[in-house]
Amino acid sequence: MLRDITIGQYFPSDSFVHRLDPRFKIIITLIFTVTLFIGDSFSSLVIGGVYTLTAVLFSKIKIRMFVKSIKPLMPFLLITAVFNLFLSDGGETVFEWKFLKITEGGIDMSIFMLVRIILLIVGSSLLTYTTSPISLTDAVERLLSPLSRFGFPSHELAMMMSIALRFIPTLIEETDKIISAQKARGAELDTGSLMTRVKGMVSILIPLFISSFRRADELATAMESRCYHGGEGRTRLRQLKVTYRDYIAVTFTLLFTGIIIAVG
Amino acid sequence: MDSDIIIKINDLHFSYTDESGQLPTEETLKGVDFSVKRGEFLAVLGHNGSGKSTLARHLNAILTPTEGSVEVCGVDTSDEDRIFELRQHIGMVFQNPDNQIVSSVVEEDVAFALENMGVPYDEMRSRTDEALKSVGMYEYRLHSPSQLSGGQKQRIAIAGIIAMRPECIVLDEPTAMLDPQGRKEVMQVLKRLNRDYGITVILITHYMDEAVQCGRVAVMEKGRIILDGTPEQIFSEPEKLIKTGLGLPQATELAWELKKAGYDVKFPVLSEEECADEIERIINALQH
Repeated sequence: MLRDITIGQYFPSDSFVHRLDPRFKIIITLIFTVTLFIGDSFSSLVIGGVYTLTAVLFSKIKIRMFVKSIKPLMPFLLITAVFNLFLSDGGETVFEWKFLKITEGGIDMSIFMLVRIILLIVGSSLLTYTTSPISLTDAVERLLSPLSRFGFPSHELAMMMSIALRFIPTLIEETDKIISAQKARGAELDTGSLMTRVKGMVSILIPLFISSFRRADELATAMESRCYHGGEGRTRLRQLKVTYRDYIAVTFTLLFTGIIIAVG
Repeated sequence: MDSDIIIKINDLHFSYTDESGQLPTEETLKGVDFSVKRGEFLAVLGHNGSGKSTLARHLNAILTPTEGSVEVCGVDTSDEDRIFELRQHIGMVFQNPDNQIVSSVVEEDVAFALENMGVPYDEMRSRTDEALKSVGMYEYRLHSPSQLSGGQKQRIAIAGIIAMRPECIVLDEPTAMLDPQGRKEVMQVLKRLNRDYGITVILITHYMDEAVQCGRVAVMEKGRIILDGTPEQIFSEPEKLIKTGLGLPQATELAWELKKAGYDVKFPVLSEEECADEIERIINALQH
C-alpha cells in the first residue's frame, strides 16, 4: 500500500526540457514566477499562457499530468478566487447584497489570480516532473555554494537531502514490515475510532524511529570509512554541463519577461 | 618492518567505555597478537560477542586500542593525522548493505569515496566503471539501489571500496543478511578480487562454509584468537572447534561422523566434492 507513493513525481524522458541543466531550470522557474506577477493586463496573461504551454509541449509530458497536479489544490484556488471576487474594489458594481459586493475590478482580479496560480503550479510541476530529485538536490547545492563562504551549510544541506531521498524507499519498506509485524501481534491499525488509530500509529512510529537511529549510526560509520570529511575538497561524478539548449531556454524566458514588461 | 606484512597487531586490548566514561570489568579484546601478510585471504571466525567485529573496527581506526597497537600498511591507527590515508589503504564493508549505500544512483555510490578523496573527474569515471565491472554490476550502474537484491547491493558496497584501490578489504559479516544465492555471489567476487587483483581480504564471518574457502582461518573466542592456521589445520581438530560452539562445515562434519563410526575416511575433507569422492571410495572398497 505504501509502495505506491511516488516522491518528487519525476517522469524520466529525454525531451528538450529534461535535458536542460537543472541549475538553469531552477533559475528559469524563478524568473518565470516573478514575471507572472509583473504583468497585469489580459494580454500578459495570454502571453504567460502561451509561454507555459510551449514549455509543456517541449517537455513531452502529457497535459493530463498537469491537470492532476492542479486538482488537489482546487479548494485553495476556489477560496482565493472567491476572496478576490468579494474583497477587491474598482470599476462598476455588478452585484450587491447586504455587505457583499462584486465589482468589475473584483471579477478581473479573481480571474487574474486564478490563472496566475494555475500557471505557477504548472510551471513548478514542470520543474519536478522533468528533473530527478537527485539532480535537483545537486543543482540546489551548486546554486547555494557561493553562500558557503559566509558559513551557509550548502553542502551539508544537499547531503542531508540526498540521504533522505536515498532512504525514503528503505524506510517505506521498513514501515510495511513493522505494520505487518504489529498486525501479527494483534494490533488493530485500520479499525476503531480516530483516537485508537492514532494510538496505533505510535506502535509503528516508535520501532521506525529506533531503527532509523541505528541506520543513521551505521551509515555514519560507513561514510567515515569511505573517507567522508564534509564538502571540502570534494570532486563530483555527476557533472553538470551547460549546453546550447540552456542558452536557448534562457533567451526564450528573458524574451518572455521583456514582452510582459513591455505589455504591462 | 617486514614489507610483506600489511597488518600488524601487538597485544591489542580494548574495552567499550560506558556512558559515564567508566571502563567495564571485562575487556572486549584481551590481548590480540596477530599479523596478516599481503595478498592473504583470511577468515576470522567467532561467535556473537567473541570480539571479531570489534577487532575489524580497529583495522580502519573506527576504534583505537585501549592498550597495545595496530599498524596497517605502516600507519599506526592511533595517528589521527593519517586517518584518511589509512582508510584509503583499507576498505571496510559492513553487514547491512542498506545502511552503507549513500546515494540513490548505483554509480554515484561507487564513486562516493573517490569524490571524498577529491579524485579528478576523468580518473573517477574510469575507476568507477572498472570497480563496477570487477563485481559484475556494470549494467546496473544507473539503477537505484532500492531496485537491487541484497547480494547485488552488497556487491555495490564492495565496488565502492574497490574504487578506492585499497590494498586490503575488511568485510564484517557481509553475507549475514543475504540469501544463499547472494552469499555465493559475494564469495565469488571476493575470491576473484583476491586472485586477480592481489587484494588482501579479511572476512569476518560465522559461516563455516565460507571459512573453508579461505586461505587462512583464525578463530576468536572471548576476545582472544584461539586458533590460527590453514583450513586443513583448523578443521583437523574438530573437538576444539566444537568446544567453542562453532561446529563444522557440513561436508567436514559428515566425514568426521563417518570416521568416528570407524570408516577409513581421509580427514579433514573440506569441500562437498571431496567428501562425495571419499564416500564413493569407501563404498567401492566395501563392495570388493
